[in-house]
Amino acid sequence: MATEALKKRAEEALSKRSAYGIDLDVSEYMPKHANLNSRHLEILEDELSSSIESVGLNVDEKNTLGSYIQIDQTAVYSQSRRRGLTILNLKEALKRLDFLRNFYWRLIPVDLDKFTALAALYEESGYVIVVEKGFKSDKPTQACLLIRSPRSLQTPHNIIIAEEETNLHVITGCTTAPESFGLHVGISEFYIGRNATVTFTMIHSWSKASHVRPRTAVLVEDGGRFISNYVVLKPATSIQMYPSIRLIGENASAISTSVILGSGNASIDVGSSVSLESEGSNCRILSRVVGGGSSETVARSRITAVIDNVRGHTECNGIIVSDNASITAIPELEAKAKNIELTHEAAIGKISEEEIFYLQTRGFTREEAVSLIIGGFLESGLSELPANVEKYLKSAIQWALTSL
Amino acid sequence: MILEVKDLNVEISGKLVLKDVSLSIGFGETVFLLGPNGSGKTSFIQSILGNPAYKVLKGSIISQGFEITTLKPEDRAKIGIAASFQIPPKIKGLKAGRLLEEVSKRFNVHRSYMENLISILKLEEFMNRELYVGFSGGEAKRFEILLALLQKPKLLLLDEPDSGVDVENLAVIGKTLDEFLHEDDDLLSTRKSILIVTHTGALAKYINPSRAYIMLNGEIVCYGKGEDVIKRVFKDGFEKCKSCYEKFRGG
Repeated sequence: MATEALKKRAEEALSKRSAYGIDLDVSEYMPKHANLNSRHLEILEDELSSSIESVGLNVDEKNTLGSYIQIDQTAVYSQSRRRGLTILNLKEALKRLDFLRNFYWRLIPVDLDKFTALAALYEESGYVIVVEKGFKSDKPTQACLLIRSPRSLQTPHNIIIAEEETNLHVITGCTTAPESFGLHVGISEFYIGRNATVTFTMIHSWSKASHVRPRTAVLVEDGGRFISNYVVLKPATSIQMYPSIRLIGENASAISTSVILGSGNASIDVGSSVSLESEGSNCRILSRVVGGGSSETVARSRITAVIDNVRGHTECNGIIVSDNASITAIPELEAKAKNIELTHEAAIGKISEEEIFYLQTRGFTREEAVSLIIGGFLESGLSELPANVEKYLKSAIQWALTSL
Repeated sequence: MILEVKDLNVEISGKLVLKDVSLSIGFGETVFLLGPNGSGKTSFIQSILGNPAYKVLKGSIISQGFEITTLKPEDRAKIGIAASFQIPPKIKGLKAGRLLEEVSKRFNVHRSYMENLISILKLEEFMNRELYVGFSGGEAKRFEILLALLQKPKLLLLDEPDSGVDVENLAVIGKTLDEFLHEDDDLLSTRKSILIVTHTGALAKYINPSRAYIMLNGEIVCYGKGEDVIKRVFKDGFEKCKSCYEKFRGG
C-alpha cells in the first residue's frame, strides 16, 4: 500500500487542520473490519439490503454493469459484469495493474490535512474502476460504502480511470447501518481521458453522529467531460468536502452540482473548485440547498481561469425553512487571463407564501405544499442523469422530505 | 346554494378592498362578475379561496349550507371549490406534469379523463416544463383551467380566463367549460356552477350566464339577468354604471 515515503509525509500531517469545516478529534475513531466476503451479492443481501437500498443501489445488479461493496474497512465484493470494465478493490488492483502506481496519490497530496494523512496511514481498500478505450456504458456501475461498527474509521481510496472515447456512470452510495456512526474519509482520484465522459453521482445518507470528509480530485483531458451530482438527503453531524477539478485539455468541461437537504444540527461545508487550464474549457458549479432544523450550510465554489477563451458559471440557490438554520454562499471567481467569461449568481430566501397558498387551493395541506416546492427545487439541481437514477433520486428526495 | 356571500368586508394591507359585498350562485348556475381593472374582482375570488393575505373584517361566505369563512384553503378545495388564477405564481423546479399527477391522485381523477383534458386544451408539450416558467399568458390560462377541472369542482371560479387569450384559444376554453357544465346534469345537486370574473365579457359568446353582477370600487353596484347586464355594460361602458349607481344611491 502506501510507500514509506508517503507514510512519513502523512505522519507529519496528522495534526494539520483542514482549511475548511469544523475541526475533529480523529483519535476517537478506529478502523474496524467485517468478517464477510462473497462472490455473489445476493448472499450479502440480508446483511446489507436495507442499508444499501437507502442509497439507491440494487442488490440484484440487474441495472448495473458491476458493483463494489465495502463494509467498514473491508472490501466485501467487487465484480465487473462487462469486458472492458475493471472493478477491483485497491489492494488487488495495486497487485494486478502495473500502471496503477502512476495514478496513485497523484492528484491529492497525502499531507493536505489530517484527513488525507489518516486515509494514507490506514489505507486498506476502496474501489479502482478502469474503463478501456472505446468502452461505452449503457448502465451505471455502483459502489456502496457502509459504516457498520460504531466509532468506525473508514478510509477508502478510490481511483477511476476513463480511457479515451469512453463513457462511465458511477453511483456511489455512502451510508451507516442503523444505530452506528463513524468517520468517513474517502479519497477519490479521477482521470478522464480524451473525449471520455464520466458521470459521478454520490448519494449520502448518514446517521446523525457521523463525520464525513471526502477528498476528491479530478483531471480532465481534451474534450473530456466530468459531471458530478452530490446528493445529501440525511446529513451527518459534519460534512466537509471541496473537490478540486482541473480541466487541463482543450474543450474539457465539468458540471458539478450539490443538492443538500440540511436538517438536525448538521454542519455542512461543500462545493467544488474548478481550474480552467486549456482553451475552450468550461464549467458550471451549481448548488441547491435547503436549510432545515438548526443546520448550518456553507456552499462554496471557486472558478479559476488561467488562459484565454474559457467560460465558467457558478450558481447557488438556497431556501431556508427554519428560523434556526443558516446558509452561506461563497462564490469565488479568479481571472488570470483577459479573454474569459466568469459569472456567478446566488439567491437565498424563504419559500414564497404566495406559492404555498396557491398549492393549498389545489387541495394540498401547507406541509404538502412546502414539500412539493422544496422537492422541485432540489430536483431542479440534478444534471444529466440516466433515467433510472433520476427517478430514484426524485423518489428519495420526496421520501426525505416527509421526515423534514 | 353553492355559494352565498353576505355583507363581505375585506382588507388587504390595511386597505378596504371589498365593501358589503353580497353575491349568490345557485347549483348549475353560471354567473359573471364584471368590472373594470382594479374594481376588486380578484380580491373577491381570493377571499372565497381563503387567501390569508385578504382579511375578512365582516360578513360571511357560505357553501352548500356550511359557513366556510375561516376554513383553510385546502379544505375549501375539498368541498369542491376550485379556481383558475388570473396570474398564477411561477414555481421554479416544480414540473407541471408532476403537479397534474398529484392533483389527479388527490381528487381521484381517472388518467384517461386527465389525458383527454390535456389534449383538448392542447397542453401535451408542457408536462416537463417548470410550472408557469416561460408560459405565455394564454398557455397559463389554459393550464390553470386544466388544473381547476382536475379538482372535479362543484364551483369553478375563473379569474379573467379570457384576457390575453387569442380567438382560437378562447373558443377552446369556451368549449371545454361548456362541456364541464354539462357533464352530469341530471340531478340539481350535482350540477356544476361557474363564476367568471371578467372585464371583457368575451366568453359570453360561448357560455350564457344566467345572471351578472357589476363591481366598482369594491362594491356590487348592479346585477341582473346575464344577457341584459352584459349588453348594457358593453354598450355604455362601466362609467355609465357608476353614474347610474350614484343616481340610484343618491335618490
